[in-house]
Amino acid sequence: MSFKNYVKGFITSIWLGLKITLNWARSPLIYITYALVLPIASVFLVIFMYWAVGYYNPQALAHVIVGQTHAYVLTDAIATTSWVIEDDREHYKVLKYMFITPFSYYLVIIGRALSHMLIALVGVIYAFILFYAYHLPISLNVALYVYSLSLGIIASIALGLTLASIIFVMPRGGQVISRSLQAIFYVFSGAVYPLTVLPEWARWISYGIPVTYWYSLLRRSILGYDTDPLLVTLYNNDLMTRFLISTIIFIVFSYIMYRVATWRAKKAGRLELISSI
Amino acid sequence: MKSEGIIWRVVFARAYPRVIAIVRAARWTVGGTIVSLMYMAALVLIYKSINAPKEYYSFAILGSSLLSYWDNVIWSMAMQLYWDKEDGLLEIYMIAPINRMALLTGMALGGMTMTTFRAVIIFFTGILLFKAPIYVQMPGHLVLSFFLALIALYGVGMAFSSLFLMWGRQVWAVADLMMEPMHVLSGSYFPIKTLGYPLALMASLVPLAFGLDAVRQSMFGSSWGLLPLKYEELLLLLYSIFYIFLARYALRKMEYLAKVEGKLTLRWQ
Repeated sequence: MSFKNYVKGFITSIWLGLKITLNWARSPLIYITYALVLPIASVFLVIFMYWAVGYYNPQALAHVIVGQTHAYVLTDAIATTSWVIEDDREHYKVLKYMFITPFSYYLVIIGRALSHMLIALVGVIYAFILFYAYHLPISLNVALYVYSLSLGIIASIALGLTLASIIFVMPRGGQVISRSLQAIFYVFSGAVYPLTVLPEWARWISYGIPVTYWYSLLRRSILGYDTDPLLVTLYNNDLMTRFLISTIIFIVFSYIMYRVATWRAKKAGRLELISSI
Repeated sequence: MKSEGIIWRVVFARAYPRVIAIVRAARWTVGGTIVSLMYMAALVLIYKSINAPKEYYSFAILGSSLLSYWDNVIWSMAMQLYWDKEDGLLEIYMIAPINRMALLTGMALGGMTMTTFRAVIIFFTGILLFKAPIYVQMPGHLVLSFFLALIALYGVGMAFSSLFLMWGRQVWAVADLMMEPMHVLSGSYFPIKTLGYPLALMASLVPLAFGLDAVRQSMFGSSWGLLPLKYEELLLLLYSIFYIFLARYALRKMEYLAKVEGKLTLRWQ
């Protein structure tokens, strides 16, 4: 297949992803409203928890807004990549046909996930609206933000793909694995609280998760500083390099996992598996 | 065989796969419980990060535990007939000489049993892990409000299952909207009166809010409650009756409409 056809196929998979995601709603406005309600609810969940205790701290609030709204990009990527495989295999029963086309299914998954990312970014815009609404100080470093967000999207898809590959050989339970990973990232990455809250042993897990550095970079790019006392000592360049390296590792790892898992799925006849999920 | 006998056999037959799934689908049971435990831990850590009194840890743990039932109501009750339709099971249910309400009752009882396993683990793990204080100030009311809340919640699930039957893929969006936004509005992790009376009373149209509030009041005292406990219990009772009757009506209506519009066997829409 020529490079041109790869690009064409990739764009088609993004388009397909957008169609599947959006076409249940009668107008894009309905979908955008729906896409906004979820991040709004997640941010207000924490705000109400603060209210209940009578706590207000602009720094803590800013930390929560950045974390909760961007967490949607990550969880969406992880959920979509695993869901695409289950959906194609078990629901639409087209997975085997995908593998007899000359196009790479790996790129189809990325394209479908990317279409979700584009929609998830609606929630990111909402973060900035909240900063304005709560009169929170903002010091946007556009270059750092674009770098962090783009790399974060790539890393999220790579993480999702690494996990999703397991689903090729699993009869069911993909959603459980996907949700487990989302939960682990949510707890240990310090998205909604500083890492100092975690016990000492748990912080080592946090340092091993690339997402921790992603949230730190996002806070620095939006607020101009990091609100986490443990990560504040790291330099921007250090964080950017760490995050870049871990993203590259995950991209390579995701491809290896994909190749191994699809090979095993073909060998075990699992491309046609229907487990009534 | 007498018709009551058949009804109970249907209830048992539909409840059985859900109960036995605790063991047979151990991956789901354990995985789902771990996920819920993780999110519960995150909520407690949010309170810890702002030095909240330890009672709030207990609220977050109690909320996470009871929300397992709400998750089950949405994903395994409300969505179930839609999934059965997609899997091709619905038409088999429809041609079987069985009472459809018995089918839904079986689903509800099985779901309650399955979820109780998860809820108990979340509750006790949370209490032990975070050393959260736990009181039971009104044991009788605790049992009463808990069971009334369960009946009302599963009544909602039964009613929604018929409505979801008519819809296509938009049910996913509706189910999503019934999750986190509802967790917030129902005061799952904090006393609902924090929302203020107008918003809290509006949110109470779904029995989850009163259910959680009544259980919280029974355990931690009436000072945390939105309305006096007796009123909340009465409202839960009314909700239970209303939603079960609504479910009965909706099931008949939607089954008829689904047949007329040819949606019983319609998939992938």
